Amino acid sequence: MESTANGNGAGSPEAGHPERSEAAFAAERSRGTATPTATPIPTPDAIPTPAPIPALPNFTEPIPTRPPPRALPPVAPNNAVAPILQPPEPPEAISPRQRPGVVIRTILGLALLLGLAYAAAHPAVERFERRIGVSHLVTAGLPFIALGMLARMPMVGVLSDDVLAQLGPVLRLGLGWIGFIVGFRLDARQLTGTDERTVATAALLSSLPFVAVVAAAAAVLVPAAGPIAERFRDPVFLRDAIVLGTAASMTAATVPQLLPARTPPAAAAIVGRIVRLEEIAGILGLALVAAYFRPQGDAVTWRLPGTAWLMLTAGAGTLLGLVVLVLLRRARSGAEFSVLTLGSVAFSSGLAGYLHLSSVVVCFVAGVLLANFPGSQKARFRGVLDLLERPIHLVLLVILGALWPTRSVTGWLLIPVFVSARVLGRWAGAKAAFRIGALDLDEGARRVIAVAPVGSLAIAIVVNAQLLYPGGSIADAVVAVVGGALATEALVHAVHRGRPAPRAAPEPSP
Amino acid sequence: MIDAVLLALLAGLMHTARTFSAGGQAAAGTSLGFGYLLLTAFLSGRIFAAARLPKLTGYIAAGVVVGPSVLGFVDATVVDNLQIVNGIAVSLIALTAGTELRLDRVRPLARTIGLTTALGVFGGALAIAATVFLLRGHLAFLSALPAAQAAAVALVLGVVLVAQSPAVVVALSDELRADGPVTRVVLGVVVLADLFVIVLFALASAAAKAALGVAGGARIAVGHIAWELLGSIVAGFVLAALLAAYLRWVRRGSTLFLLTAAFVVAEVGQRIGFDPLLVSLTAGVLVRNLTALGDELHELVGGASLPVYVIFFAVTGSKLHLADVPPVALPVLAIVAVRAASLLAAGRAGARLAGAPPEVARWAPYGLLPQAGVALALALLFTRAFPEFGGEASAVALGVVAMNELVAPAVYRLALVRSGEAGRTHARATPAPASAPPRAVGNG
Repeated sequence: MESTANGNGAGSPEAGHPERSEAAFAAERSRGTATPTATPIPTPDAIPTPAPIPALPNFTEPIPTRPPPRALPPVAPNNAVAPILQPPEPPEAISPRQRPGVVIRTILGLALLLGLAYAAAHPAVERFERRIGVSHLVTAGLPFIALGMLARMPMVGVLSDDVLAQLGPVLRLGLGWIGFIVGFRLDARQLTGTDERTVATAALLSSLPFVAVVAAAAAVLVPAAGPIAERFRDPVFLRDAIVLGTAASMTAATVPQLLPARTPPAAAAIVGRIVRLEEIAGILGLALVAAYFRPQGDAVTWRLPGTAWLMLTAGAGTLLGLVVLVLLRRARSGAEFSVLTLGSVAFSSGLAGYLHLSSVVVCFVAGVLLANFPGSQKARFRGVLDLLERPIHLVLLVILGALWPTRSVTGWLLIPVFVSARVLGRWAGAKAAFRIGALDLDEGARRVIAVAPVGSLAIAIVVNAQLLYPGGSIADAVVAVVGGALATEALVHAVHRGRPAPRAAPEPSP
Repeated sequence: MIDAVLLALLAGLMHTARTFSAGGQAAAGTSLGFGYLLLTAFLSGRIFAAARLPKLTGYIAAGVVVGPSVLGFVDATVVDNLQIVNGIAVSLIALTAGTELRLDRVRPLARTIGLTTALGVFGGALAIAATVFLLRGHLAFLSALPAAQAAAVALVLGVVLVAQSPAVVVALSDELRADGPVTRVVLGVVVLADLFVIVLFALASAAAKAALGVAGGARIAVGHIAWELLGSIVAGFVLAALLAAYLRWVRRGSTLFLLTAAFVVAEVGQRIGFDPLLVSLTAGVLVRNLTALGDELHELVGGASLPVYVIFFAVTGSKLHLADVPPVALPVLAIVAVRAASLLAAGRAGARLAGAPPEVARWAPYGLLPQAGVALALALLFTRAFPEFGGEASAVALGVVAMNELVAPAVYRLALVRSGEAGRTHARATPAPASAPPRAVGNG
């Protein structure tokens, strides 16, 4: 384990007290007032060290506070993701000799984009995709990930480091957008009537894949020499495993549409509610990770225990939700509504990121609040969110493709582990729910539940985790989840091949 | 009142975030700055509108107040990072301007536009240059130079400061839903003047560098102009072809394609020396006048116009460093006054010489006063081209732009209202001319 005992990565006095010099610390030690390095110390800003009183030396010691329970070792940002975390450099002027080449490449790039869009929209191409069985992969966004990888290649040079740096805020905006969309779906009225059986099924369907993926990841990632229990004490592993498990515990909101046509509408509606509950579980998982595994460094000046960060996340989401609600009610036209929506999402996700909180979670909380407050703004807000959901998702995939750490052997290794453990966990969950009488679906429908697609929220969660913890092994989790999502789409297609057209959606799909 | 309370609430949240955190990741700071600037500028615009001032003055004022020079909620790094957003905004504004330029409607006003532009740009530049030259005793960076060199530098400043603002003109026309001869003449003049100013700036700065004995001669200047102007126009043709092809054959996801194209124009354009405004303007004019897709493109861009205007003017405002202006207030005020007088006189003279309707002669010259993106870019270019003149030269140039940016839109707004052209259109996407067949190519 790389982290030190005091939770701040502080083996030296300065690490816990950035403002306090070595000399000051030595002076305190000589007076008997210095705090042992293993004891957590509040920052001087929060609780100033009182003047020493010789008669009562013990009273002069600062009150120990609990450190973040799972402090992470400081790490440098991963090279792959560094471009979107660093501020963009001023663009370099291209020398006159290189200009024609850049112009030609740009025109060819735009023409290629045009050609791809034309081809993708052409009915003959869509028929061909269906015939050879790649339509699900296309729908899932594989071409956009490939486009990002292609544009990132040095010989193409379109998505260079500085361009990616400029697209960094778009990534943050996209995460906030997804958070708002998922939160906004959580209208309490739609969940009214959810019985214990549905909750139990959702609990089984989200917890068993979580456990399966965490256990499988531990088995794969455990070092040959170390015992597995030791691995679970490593906060970095624990964090990554929870992120992987959280991503595995969710399914796409389109699952009800994939159920066999013979499935009764009431059962399909229950599946829709289960998906919603799984989303809540996923958001909760990310919130817990972001609160209890704080990023290191002095970027955030407050030192708080994990529970306080959790409360702060909920509070920030609620406050922002209320502000956004008032703002949206001020709109007088569609254009004004668009401005306020765009500004609100950017502000909320930016504020969360600025405080090193999860943008997805904070925006989710704000979205839930908006969805459950009465008012005429709800339909319009939903309309604006839906309007840009697909473009934002596709831009996210292009950026993800560009940042894809292709050399992450562990990540590639984790893809089959993630997919198989997730399917196994969901299959076990569905079977257990059926056995206890909580899930009333036939075997074909249960198979659909077992191999349900991963969904964009899971991808958003791992991307958000990577932004929160830009260094180390989190990149492997991103590879595993994004690759696993695509692989699951292929699996979904294999399961559905030759079956009649899917049923109509029981409720608006995202 | 509620808008003001919301402004205070947002400011409180920003202040809290800044005291709470020593700075998040760059992207988070930029996203936060973008959202905050967008919301604050929008609310300020509404407060200004309630006071019968242009909304865009509110957007600019918000940028100034929350930007690095006053409150500092949006710091200089974030403003720099938002440059690409500004680039996309410029590209979209230019596309809007291009699709507004129906040659069949502008043709009867061509003489007025040509004469007003020529008199305004040349006369205005010379008048400003003369003022700067005469005030050189108050300007440390000029007082030490011999008269010939001071005159050459004054000429460059004259060209920089005569620049007008297509963005303000388009935004105000949109805001007031204005249409008519005054609106069309002003739009034509500011677009044409933009081209003239780019050419003149390259020539004048080459001449000044030669006079100062700095490397970079006339040949380089000509090459630069040829590349920037011709290259931008050719790139505009290519962009028009791509946009038209997309709108005709694909349609699905056209918003995303348009934004991608604007991003590419802004990002690649600035790196290879093209003028993104000219590229997009050319594309807009071509799509409007050579295809039947002009309305579709106009509607597409128009759908995103409000956020684009808000963020463009707010970022432009946040780049103004008003704190630098007081030491050079006297020359700045003198230049602003001379510029306004010369442009108003040139506008009236041009319109009368061309036999334009009286309302054009009376009100159109006020549309030449606003300055924003182009002038600011040229002022920064001037600062970069002549670093030896230091901060004072930059303060004078940016001070004049700041004054015109904050005050002139209100003047032009009043002129549009008084001319009776405000409120003549219900939507900016005006229907195609009745004479044009529905899907004809080449209705211009």
